[in-house]
Amino acid sequence: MAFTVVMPQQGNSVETCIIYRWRKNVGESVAKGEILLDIETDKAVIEIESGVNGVLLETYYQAGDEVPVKTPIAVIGQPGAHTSAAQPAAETIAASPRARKRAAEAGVDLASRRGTGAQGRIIERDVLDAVLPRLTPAARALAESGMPIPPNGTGIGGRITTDDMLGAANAAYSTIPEAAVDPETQPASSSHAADELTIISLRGVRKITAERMLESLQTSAQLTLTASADARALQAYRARLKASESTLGLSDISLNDLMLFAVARTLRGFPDLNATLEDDVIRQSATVHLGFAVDSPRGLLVPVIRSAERLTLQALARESQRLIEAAGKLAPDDLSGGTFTVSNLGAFGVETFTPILNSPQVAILGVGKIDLKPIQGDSEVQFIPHLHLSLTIDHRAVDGAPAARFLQALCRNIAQFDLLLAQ
Amino acid sequence: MNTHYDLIIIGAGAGGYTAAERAGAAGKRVLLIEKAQLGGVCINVGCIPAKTLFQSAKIYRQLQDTERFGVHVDSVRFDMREVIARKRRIVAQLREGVRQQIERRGGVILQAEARLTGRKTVRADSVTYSAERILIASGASPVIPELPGIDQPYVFTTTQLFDLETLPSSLVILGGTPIALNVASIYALAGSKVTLITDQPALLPDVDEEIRALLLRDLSAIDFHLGSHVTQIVDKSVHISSPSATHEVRADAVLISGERAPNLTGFGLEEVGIDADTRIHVDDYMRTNVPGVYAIGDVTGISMWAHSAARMAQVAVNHMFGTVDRFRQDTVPFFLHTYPEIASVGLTEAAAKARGIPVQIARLPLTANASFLIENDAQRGLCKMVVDRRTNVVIGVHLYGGECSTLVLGAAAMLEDEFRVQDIQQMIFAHPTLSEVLRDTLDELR
Ligand SMILES: Cc1cc2nc3c(=O)[nH]c(=O)nc-3n(C[C@H](O)[C@H](O)[C@H](O)COP(=O)(O)OP(=O)(O)OC[C@H]3O[C@@H](n4cnc5c(N)ncnc54)[C@H](O)[C@@H]3O)c2cc1C
Repeated sequence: MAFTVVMPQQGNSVETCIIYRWRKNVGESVAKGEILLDIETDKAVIEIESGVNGVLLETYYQAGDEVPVKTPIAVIGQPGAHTSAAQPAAETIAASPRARKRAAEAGVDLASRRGTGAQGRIIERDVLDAVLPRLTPAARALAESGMPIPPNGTGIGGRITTDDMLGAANAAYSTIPEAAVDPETQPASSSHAADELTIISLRGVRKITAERMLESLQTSAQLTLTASADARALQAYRARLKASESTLGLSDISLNDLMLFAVARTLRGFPDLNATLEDDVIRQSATVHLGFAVDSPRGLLVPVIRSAERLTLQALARESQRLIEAAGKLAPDDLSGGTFTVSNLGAFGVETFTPILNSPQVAILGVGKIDLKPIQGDSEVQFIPHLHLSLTIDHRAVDGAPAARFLQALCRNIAQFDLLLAQ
Repeated sequence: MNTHYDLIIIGAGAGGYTAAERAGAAGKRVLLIEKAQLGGVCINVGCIPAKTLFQSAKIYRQLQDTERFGVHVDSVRFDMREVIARKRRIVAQLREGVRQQIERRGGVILQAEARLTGRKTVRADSVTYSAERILIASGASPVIPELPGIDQPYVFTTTQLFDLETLPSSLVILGGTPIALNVASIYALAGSKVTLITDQPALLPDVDEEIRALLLRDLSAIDFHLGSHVTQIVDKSVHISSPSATHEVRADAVLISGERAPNLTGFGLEEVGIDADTRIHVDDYMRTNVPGVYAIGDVTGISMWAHSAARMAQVAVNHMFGTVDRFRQDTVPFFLHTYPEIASVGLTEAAAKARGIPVQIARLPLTANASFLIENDAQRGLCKMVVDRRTNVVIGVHLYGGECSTLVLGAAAMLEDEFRVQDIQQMIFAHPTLSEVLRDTLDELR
């Protein structure tokens, strides 16, 4: 008896998931309840357990493959059991998953290949036949050992070299879409030529980010206000934390944690900014579920600190640390349900920016760098460190004046951070 | 005359004239502006004169050593006047060839000094020309050290030396570049007493260590003073100080052959905002920081050889007009017309190790090769090949002996296509030729 493993449904809106990693190889036995593979949804990596005891007889997809939910992905059973009944559904172009993966990597159009597999199915070999002539003999040997083939080469006549192969193997996730670069203004030091495109299909976190950002801008009325806060109290407090005895466990609390704390506490008095707008209904939240943007290896993630306004500074810092460390493997719960978001680009030297709303939330705060600002004192101009803040609101839900009042309150709380702690 | 072009090229050296030919062949309208002579350094005062002189000097040398081949020559004489006359003939013929190649493809050659006046404009002879793309190929010039006596009439650069119709009985060369060594070798073969003085601690630092040592030992006719400073030149004598001593060397003629510096000043680079400090900075496609403006050859300081300039020209033209191409520095061949020759392409053992590449070295004395033995008899020679252990790809070929520079093309082709040991072992090598060493050396690998 053989059991088919299907790609599980993860919530109502999820149509496809990416196989992140197989924990078992074909031929290995697996016990009921043991983790069989990890899958990646738009926001999280989820562990999938085996529902039965047996041997993993066959897998239909590899790590990196994007698979529609409810599609068969593997067969578990006793060795020798019949697996053919469990083949994945036929597609318009009949091609093996390995062939598809190769074709996607190397930029080969599957429609242009003639299949030599059973019933004319395109198999990996058919794709490789199109690509291998572009590889040097040594690169070919690497490809045949399973290494991904990049779409472009730097060798003679555009030949793909061993360096290109090694480069492609290391490049996962870190490539910048070439379309974003203007060939005319691109400086000489850039390593990509305008005519050597890296093709990256939008999927997983990237795809969801793309959709959400576009949707956010298209469906809300965004307005950004900027201000700056006297940062001396914040810096002084941070310095005290840093110098504190290690037994207190306070020395790792970051400037960003102080900011999150200040925002959460300030929001208490501004329910109209701690809200969502959906289907013509504004929902003001009694507690602050504070999202903060994290630049993870998988792309932009926004984990959420629950009831942030009730946490002590230390508890808030611990929770943010936990979420950052787990960023690649967060459960959907950690990534949803936020009521306000903070995005901090100060570490990159950014002064002000126009954060895009994390819809359906109605406000997002962008934190910039600390700069010296000339302030007229009693007798002379003083240069005082100031933190740049950019607040984007959805003008459908919030007007400029309340937003400005919130920003003003936040600046005051930052400037008097010690007093805020006492409240 | 037309004032708008697809491409304007400043400088008609190996880089500029190759670009003009290539772009012309691609059907582009090209204006090539040269202030001095068509052909630049390479044809007029560099590679071509050097090789012409080398050829005569080599024959002269070989004729003094014919007995072991069973040939007896009664009298041999080297006539510099005739050699220089021949050089002029060859240079003129090649220059004319370049002109024809460019004009045949519709290129326009303008004899004038060019000045960059904008991203797309160049001024020459009081006319402003414009083009979609501009290519700077202004080359390099010798750096003349500040030294008492440097302006004596018997102190030359190679340009003047290669026009000197009498062979100096003693020649002192100031500089330790590969070209300096090349010229030293030529004049020593022709019969000058040659002394080479450099403040560098070692010559040819980028050459394989073992091969370098062999070459320098065989060039024993040349008197080397490494790590030494020249303090002055007076009364046909060069005063040297080294950490250990000071002394004087007699010099019928003195040659300045140190570093060559890119030509960057006086033609508008700063005004247009081109990123240049001691050289023009370019990427693998020969683009400068200014859109539409490219630079190639010696002025980029990347690889100061004519074959590099020509290859950069091809890369730049390809990139300008839409073909994917890039300059791959690791496969630039190197060789010197010394006697015997050295030649190499790719990484040395030391360079590979510095990059963290695990390597295996194959080594074979050339006397194991029939052809080498027949042609060179008692001379020494060596072939060393560097193999990447991880992939078995040959990443460096280093040769010394005989006319080994003839092998460098084959070796470069192998490197360009990342031939592995087993691929090379499947090739057919003509017998008996020196080329067989490329296979036989690899057979030494265990
Ligand atoms: C003695 C000697 C021997 C050499 N031997 C070899 C060899 O054997 N093999 C080898 O590969 N290389 C050799 N080289 C090096 C080789 O000559 C150079 O690498 C090569 O010439 C570089 O070509 P290029 O086009 O960059 O510049 P160049 O050949 O220097 O040409 C630049 C041209 O630009 C012109 N120019 C500059 N500014 C302007 C302006 N504003 N307007 C108009 N025209 C301008 C100059 O007059 C010049 O003609 C040798 C060099 C020397 C000196």
